[in-house]
Amino acid sequence: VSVPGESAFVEAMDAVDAGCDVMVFSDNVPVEQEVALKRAADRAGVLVMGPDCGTAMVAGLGLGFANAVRPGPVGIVAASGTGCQQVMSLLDSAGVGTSAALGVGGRDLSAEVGGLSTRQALRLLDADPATELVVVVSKPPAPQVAAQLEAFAADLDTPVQLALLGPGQPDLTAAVERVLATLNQPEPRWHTWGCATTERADGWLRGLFVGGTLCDEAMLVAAETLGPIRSNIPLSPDLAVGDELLPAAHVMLDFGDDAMTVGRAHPMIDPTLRLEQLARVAQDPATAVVLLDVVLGHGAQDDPARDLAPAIHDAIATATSAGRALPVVAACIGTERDPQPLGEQAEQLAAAGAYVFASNAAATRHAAALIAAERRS
Amino acid sequence: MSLSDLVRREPSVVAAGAGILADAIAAQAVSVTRVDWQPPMEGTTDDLAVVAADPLRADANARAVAAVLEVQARLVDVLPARDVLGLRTGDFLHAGPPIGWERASGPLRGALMGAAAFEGLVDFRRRPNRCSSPARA
Repeated sequence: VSVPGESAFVEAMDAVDAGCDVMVFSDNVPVEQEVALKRAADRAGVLVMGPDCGTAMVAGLGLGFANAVRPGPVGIVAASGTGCQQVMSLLDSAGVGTSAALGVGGRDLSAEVGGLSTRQALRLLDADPATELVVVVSKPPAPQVAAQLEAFAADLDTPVQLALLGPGQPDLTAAVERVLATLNQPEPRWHTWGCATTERADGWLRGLFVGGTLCDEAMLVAAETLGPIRSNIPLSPDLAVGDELLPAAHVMLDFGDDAMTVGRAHPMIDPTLRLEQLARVAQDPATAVVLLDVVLGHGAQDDPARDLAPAIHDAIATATSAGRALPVVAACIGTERDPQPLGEQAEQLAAAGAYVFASNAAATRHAAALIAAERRS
Repeated sequence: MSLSDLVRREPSVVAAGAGILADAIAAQAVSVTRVDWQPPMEGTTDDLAVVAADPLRADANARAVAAVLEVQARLVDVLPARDVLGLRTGDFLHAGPPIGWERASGPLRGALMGAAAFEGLVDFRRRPNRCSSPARA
């Protein structure tokens, strides 16, 4: 269901009444409608994925934005779309497949919704003989919901690992590494493409993201060394940027945020706004390092590097002609099986001058390490 | 607790909304049924949500459909409608709520004119395309 948010509830209830599992891609669905929908689904024994669910994979079929991954033992329950894509893509590159990825919507583990869909998704994966281990990807739940979830997970036959993105929590790459260790897989070496620069630059880190969770993760990782990061989706309200998107500070912007997508498609489909901002950021002499994400897979642009690689090349040329260096670091989320193969995309970005990582957390650490000591707090 | 077989067999997909999402499913060689979705009539969105959330709805729908499906028509007699329903001269019933001439659609006006001529209320051969007596439903 991807109709406008105010009509999504009616369509989704129709599906639930017909005994169908339903994925609600629409956002802007009132939380009380989400609760009513999930209670009805609970009674009917079906799963509601969403609202605002961008990613799912069932029986090998990608729904919404999803990467083409090999089948395998890991089931994913995700309250976060691009977080789920990072986890399934890294698992795939480590040779470990995914049995299913079930989105539950970003609010599912809030106190209001109480994890209704997360529990139903866990029941489904627990009953699935192909699933040997389940990973739950989410922001930290409301405390009472977290306690209920842990008790519920402990009663299942299938082991459940929680990958909860928040201050002091492991990043998504670390969560994937823990899964791989549990499955007795060798320690992976995550891919990089291009040449690393190591020279430190005096100025600000500017992150331009299409994935909301990737932006969140990057802010959490960068804040460990750089201090507070300003954003349009800030980790705390005092860090919000206003209309001025280029303050004298470390900034990370999520171009997939609702306010940025009014009247236009998601930046994973329409890159215009981010490309414009990349040009502006390159002209600003206070920019020290640019950090980007690229999300591949079904539903995304058919060749993101076609637009982004020339834009990266131009950004670097802009800075060079002004006598500055401009390191561009990119996280490229995808697999070799995606409609836009990961290696081809990453190599185009690297050829344009970017240093490209398969891991968003690793890309962020590298970018943050390039910032000079006087810009750290 | 019953469980759907979502993760155990190839899904059959029904898509309502953005075509690009249905296209991405078709591109994975899975057939998808596209709903010809239209926005609701202006001012009815919230009412529809209230009806959709009402736990009585499923039972009410089942009873309404059953009431239609479970009856069997039986011919009892043939009589003029005016005698059975107590219609006065100039009254016409149509399949809808009460309506006057001013709000009647073109086809409905045509039907009313035909009916008025058939009932002998007007002489359609002398006064084409006019009907002075408004219909009462």
